[in-house]
Amino acid sequence: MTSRMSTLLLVTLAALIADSPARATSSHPFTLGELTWTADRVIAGTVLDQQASFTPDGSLIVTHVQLQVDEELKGATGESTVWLWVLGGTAPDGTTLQVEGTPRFTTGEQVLLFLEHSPHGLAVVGWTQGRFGLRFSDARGEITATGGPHELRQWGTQADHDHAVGYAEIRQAVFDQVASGAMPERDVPGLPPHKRAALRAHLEVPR
Amino acid sequence: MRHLLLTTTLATLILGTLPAHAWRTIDPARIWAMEDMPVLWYAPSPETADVVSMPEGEALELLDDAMRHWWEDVPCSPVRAEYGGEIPNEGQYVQDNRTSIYFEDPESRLGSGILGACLTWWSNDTLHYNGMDFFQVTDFDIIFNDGVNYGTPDDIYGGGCTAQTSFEGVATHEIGHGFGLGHSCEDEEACPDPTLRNAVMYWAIGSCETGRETPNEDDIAGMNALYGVYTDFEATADTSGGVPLEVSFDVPEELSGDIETYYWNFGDGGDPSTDASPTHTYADEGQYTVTLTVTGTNDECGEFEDSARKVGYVLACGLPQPEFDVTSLGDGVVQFNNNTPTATFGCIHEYTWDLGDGTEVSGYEPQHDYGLDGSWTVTLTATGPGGSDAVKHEIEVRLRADPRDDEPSLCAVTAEPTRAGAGSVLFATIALLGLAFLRRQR
Repeated sequence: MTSRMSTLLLVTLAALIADSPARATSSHPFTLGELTWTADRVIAGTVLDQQASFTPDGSLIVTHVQLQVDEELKGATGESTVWLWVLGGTAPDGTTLQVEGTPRFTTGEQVLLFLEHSPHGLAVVGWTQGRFGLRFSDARGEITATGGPHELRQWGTQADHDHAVGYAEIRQAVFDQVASGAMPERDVPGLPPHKRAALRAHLEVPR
Repeated sequence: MRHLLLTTTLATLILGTLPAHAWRTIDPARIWAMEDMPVLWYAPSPETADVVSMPEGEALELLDDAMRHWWEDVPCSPVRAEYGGEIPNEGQYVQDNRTSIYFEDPESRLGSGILGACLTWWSNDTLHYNGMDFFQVTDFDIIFNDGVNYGTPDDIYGGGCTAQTSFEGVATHEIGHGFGLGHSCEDEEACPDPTLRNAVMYWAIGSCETGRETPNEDDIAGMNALYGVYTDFEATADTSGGVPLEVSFDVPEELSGDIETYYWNFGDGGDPSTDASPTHTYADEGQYTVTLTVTGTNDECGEFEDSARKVGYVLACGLPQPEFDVTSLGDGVVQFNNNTPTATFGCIHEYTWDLGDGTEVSGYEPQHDYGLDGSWTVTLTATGPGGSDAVKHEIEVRLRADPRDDEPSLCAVTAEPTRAGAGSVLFATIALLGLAFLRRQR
């Protein structure tokens, strides 16, 4: 973790806001490995701004979220900030489009995001499954992550009141996954065509 | 009319005995109004989208099955939906007040791992329940991710499933959103029982996963809380008429079986009633909103509380008091000005004018060309729920030559009003301009 990341996390932890409870709608239950493989970029950062607006054709509302990049775990570009988009939001005229299960953000909160390229810019993989909230846990004495993929939320493994997992563990797992290049051992539905083809070839699934 | 929507917390406060369910409402909470049932839903032909890897036409049948799960498998659920027809395979993300279901995502808005999504649109109209307001759903759109290998029940249950995802399971889940349910187990602390993960509204579904097509007890609890037992009422006598207006209210027999308590608010500030079928007398003119709140217990739905409110349901009217005056428009043309008090909307629904020269018209403020000198008795009659009454005024129309050019056609109208009857004389002399009147003769 960069020193900037550490500083930001430690200094502003008190101001962190609890995770949004929303989760992906009708989603594939990702493992952390699948999530990492699917993501083009994995970024820990701070939400700087978010702006909801209608798409140019006026048919849809999307929210653009600006993230200050505190640490890049995959697909590093060196950018200091990135913009991503999520479906839904409240436009300036007050019109709201709500899509069940889309990730939600609060300005100032720190998050770990698994992002993929889309025709419209960076999007969160698996919606709320690709979004972790980061906070410092007094009880554990470390930065913890809440939310994220299905496999981290199993019943009976509750190590913290909010099923938090140590950020360091997740970070190391992501690094290991990236280094190994291991592909998922089952189909991940909804992949973009080039990844779908690669995975099905790996799984020897008929196209 | 309509409906309750309870968060689990609220439901627990009110009902007290709810088991540990994991269902949630969507956020912000919103539901359909019962008068909008059945929901008409539309879909493009599956032929237009090659993304649903199922036999042609089966997707539509499975969608219909998925819709039906929300009432055929949910006791007490009054929601209904019907296939409305085929639509073009475009406009996936357009608010059009039409519930639409699409088999593909050409704009690539869903992304990896997202099987389908439900976009819910609602109006600023609110549905009132238990002192709370909820938004009213106007339509929902469901979009399936075309990158998913969907399977039919045969694929999922036939023993040969490899990587298919249950199309019917995903459809039932998304339709649940459209009816107002959020994700169950959204907060895992409220999901202590792993069996609740079999709920249709659980937020994830895996490849070849079975048992996710039919609502389980958690889904049923959620739907019954949203839509289960509801109340309504009707008047057994006219709800509009002259004061004092006596109105009797009742709950339709099919809805009243399980009700244990009634609380009627008649909207006029009078005493409420706890009778099942009360009669109330409205003494003053006005338009009144009636509210009924009931509580009870149903064998299948458990304890319930609901309210029905009908805005402006009762219209109590006094006798109309028509009144008018006139203005000359020149050349013998008279403008009638309606001064009838109309404090309560709806208490007068018709004005008729007998203009004294054999002409009868209806309308609020007619004009009339008399064309001749003379005195005319004009009668305005106002009619409404409170009855009918008339006023008569005599007007005198006198044409005289325009002093500027002596052209008879340019004569003005002079009025020389006279008055008797009710004791007051209402008239004005409008030299060179015209006319007016009147004698009030009730």
